[in-house]
Amino acid sequence: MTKDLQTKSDSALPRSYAARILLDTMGRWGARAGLLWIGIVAFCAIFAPVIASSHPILLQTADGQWTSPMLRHLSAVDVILLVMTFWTGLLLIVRMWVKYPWFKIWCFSLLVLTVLSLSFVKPPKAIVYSHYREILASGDAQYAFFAVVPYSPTDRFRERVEEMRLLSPSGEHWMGTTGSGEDLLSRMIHACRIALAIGFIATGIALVLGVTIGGLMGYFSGIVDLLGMRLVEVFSAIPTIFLLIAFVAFYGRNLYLIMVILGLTGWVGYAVFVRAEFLKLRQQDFVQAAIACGLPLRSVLFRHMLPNGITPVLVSASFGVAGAILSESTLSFLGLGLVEEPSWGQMLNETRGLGGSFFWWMGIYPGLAIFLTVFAYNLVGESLRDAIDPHLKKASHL
Amino acid sequence: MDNRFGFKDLIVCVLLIAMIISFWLGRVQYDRQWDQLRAMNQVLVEQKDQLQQIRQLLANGVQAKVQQTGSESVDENDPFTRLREVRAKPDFSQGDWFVYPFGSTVGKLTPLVSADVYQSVIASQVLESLAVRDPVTLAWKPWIAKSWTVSEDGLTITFELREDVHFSDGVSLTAEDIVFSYDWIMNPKIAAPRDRAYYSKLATVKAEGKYRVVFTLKEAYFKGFDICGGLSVMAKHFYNQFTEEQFNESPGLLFGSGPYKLSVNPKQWKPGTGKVELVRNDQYWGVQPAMDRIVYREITDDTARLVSFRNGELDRYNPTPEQYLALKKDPQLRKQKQFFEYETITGGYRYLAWNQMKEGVPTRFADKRVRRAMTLLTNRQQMAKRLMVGLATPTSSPFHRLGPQANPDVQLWPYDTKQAKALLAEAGFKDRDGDGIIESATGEPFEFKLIYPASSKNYQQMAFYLKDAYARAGIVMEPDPLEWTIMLQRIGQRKFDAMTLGWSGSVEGDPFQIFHSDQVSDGGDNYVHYINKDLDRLIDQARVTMDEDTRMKIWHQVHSILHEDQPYTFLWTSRAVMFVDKRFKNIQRVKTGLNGIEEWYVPRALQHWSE
Repeated sequence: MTKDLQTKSDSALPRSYAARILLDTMGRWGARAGLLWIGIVAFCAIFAPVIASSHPILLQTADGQWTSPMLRHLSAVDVILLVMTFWTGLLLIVRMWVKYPWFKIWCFSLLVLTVLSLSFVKPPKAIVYSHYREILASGDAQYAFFAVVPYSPTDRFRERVEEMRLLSPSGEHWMGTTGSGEDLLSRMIHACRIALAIGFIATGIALVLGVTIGGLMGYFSGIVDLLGMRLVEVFSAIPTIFLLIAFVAFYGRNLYLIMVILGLTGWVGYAVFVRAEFLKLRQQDFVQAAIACGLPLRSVLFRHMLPNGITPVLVSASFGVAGAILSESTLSFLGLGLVEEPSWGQMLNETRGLGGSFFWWMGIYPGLAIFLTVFAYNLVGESLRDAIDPHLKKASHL
Repeated sequence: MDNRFGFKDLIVCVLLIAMIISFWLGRVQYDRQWDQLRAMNQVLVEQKDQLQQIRQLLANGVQAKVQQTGSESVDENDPFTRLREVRAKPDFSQGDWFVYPFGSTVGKLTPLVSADVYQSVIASQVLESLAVRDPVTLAWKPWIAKSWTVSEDGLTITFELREDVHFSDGVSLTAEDIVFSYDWIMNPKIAAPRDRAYYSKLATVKAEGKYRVVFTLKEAYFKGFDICGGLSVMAKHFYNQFTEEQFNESPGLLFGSGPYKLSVNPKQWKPGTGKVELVRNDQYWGVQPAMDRIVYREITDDTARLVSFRNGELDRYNPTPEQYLALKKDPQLRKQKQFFEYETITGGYRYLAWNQMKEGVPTRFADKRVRRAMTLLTNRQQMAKRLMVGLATPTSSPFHRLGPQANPDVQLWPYDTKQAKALLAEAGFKDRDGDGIIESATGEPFEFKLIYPASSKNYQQMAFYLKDAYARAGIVMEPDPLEWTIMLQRIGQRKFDAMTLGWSGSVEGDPFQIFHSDQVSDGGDNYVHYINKDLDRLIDQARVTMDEDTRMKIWHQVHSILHEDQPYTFLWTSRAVMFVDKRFKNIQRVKTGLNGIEEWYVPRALQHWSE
């Protein structure tokens, strides 16, 4: 009987709680505005190669054949993102009518797709962007249908580079061009991907580490807690930005390395949160019951305790995402980010012209993008916290 | 119990805080006094030493000698004629500082063990040599040596030293110090392979009495006199107190007889403070220069450096080409600063180096055709015009086109993608699987990384240019910016595919250091592993040819071979542009660029910095 009751409460309570929190959060205008902006950024991140590319979506050659250079130049990551977006939509729509383990199917298809595209999608690496403009001018191609923003982020207009450099916004280049002659809008769109990826992956790593370490500390307390807290103290003393700068200097510019370092140094806050929650929860009846039933530690920790203690961590995670985006921007601003790939911070760095001049379009747009993204995550985090905290909730309803 | 914070408590708190603050202020004051006391103490110790020396001199009866040197000052061999002329100017005034920006940090000041170009800039103010090149005629003129004789066969050079030269601590400089300088370089425990290779041309250096040194060369060498006359004199009594290991490890052991000395004790100097300060050597044996202090400030960011210069915190500035374009039109800057633009033979050149041997395996650049194809793909004319804003002139060799070493018959390789593709195809690189990238016969795609210093935007723009240019031939190049120290390390270990940097030039360049196969191993500068026996033979032959015309003919052949082989893609030589603050007077154009800082001065009314 106890087991029956346990499972019932287990399945019913957290879900309804989560749903309640979700509804409450979505009811706040801050969260809506924040999510709207994150949605826009996510859309740009996923569809970047379709929205902004120098490769024509459709190209008709002189002999009348139709090709799609844009599709041929999609990278493995592009393919995964695009296919998975449509596949997820399809799965969710079907789910409205038929109940099935859609999440398992989703995970499985992600795995299969990743393996397939990493091994089979090989876009050309030696790219001459001016090629299309040349063949269109010479009549080797009859017709080309370009994307909305017909410039790739690394298209530096080699055939007329001098006139293309540092143009202020115009009808042709909506946000102007950079010091190397690249279209700023295209770079802005493609940079969304780095911003999102760094935020989610770095925070993801930090979350996994923080929850595991914090959970163990809270559950076992005693000597484990004592040692764990010392570890927390050690890690919270690491200056992340300096560590990043040192690593970039020695091991080169690698986005994944940056993510991992941000993750490895950022887990401390989550660990402390989860520890506090677990210290509180471990004495409660349902946990004692789960232990008494002889459930394995993994199950007790992550199935029974974690859903009850995760919400405050999610709040700080949304602030963590914002922090990670800022860290990457800082690094790029200092000129230590990726070399060619666009990033908002790196564009911001180019605002100060070499001759001491100021190019406003390279300050305003990337600056605004960073500000809005960080602000959006903070808004969401704020709303989530308000929704969870009953005291605040009362106050806000007054 | 009611425990309220009353008026009395407030007064007690305020009193306590006041006490703490006054205590703290007192401490700060005490610290300052202590610092001053220490400085005074140091000066006293120095003066005591000087007094002792004077007393000693007096005891030895140098009265007559002083008169002698007095009459010597009209000697035409006086190295300080130029400086005396400057000092005779009506508005000449001693004082003010010169603040010199460095684009990179200086890790070591110790001579020989530092390979840094910035170190050599600093050392040139502190260390002196037996002879120097006259800035106007480029002929050697006496400095520490008052005269010299060269034997018939050119193998023995005897220097007579001046007797009044002493180091910055007052100890006089004798033949012993020169012998010691040579022995120290040749000591295998000293980490100075580059200098050792250079001085290995010498057989012996012997002191004959206190003020005569005899250099003997192993074989004739056209730069024989340059080697002997240009030897920086290191103080035996100073450097002898360190073991070889200590010398190799210490960062700041810079001590000499020059017009300036380090502002701190060389043993205590530490890198990373953002600046290096030299103060005038008040005991200098020669004519004192005008500047009280030379401050070298390390500002790595191009833009930050420019802002500092605009604000008057820096006194000279070398703009990047981009900045030059913007600044040339800046009326405000032109009013406040002097502007110089010049090209010299010693200006050096920029190059792309193709590594032919990486980790014991020959790379694709080991094939001469591939290297030539890379050169054909590099649009030097366009890059010189656009990237270097017309300041650069493409070059086909390490020899400057204005000098006699360059072969006038050699024509620059043109920019020709078709010919390059044909050459690559001949070398076996073709697109075999239709992916747009060319592959070798074994199916290995032509991909490589180009390393360049990360701090420079100009190098970055250049890397992007090259990437786009090579993509046209189906070659994938990945720009890989590296931190300066890491880049040096990678070059030392030969762990790179291709790199770009610049070499500085000299009046007559010796390609032995860079292109001779002897320099491949042991951290030599032939880091691309370029071996051509014909070239080796020619270089060896030229080095022992003392007749200038014959030697130039051989250099012309060397030029042709380098042009054929393209161990480097020689990019361009460029005109130097420099802004200097307006308050500095007597800046002149000389053959090697501008005259030295020691000849500049600031009239009293315009002086800006002081203690």
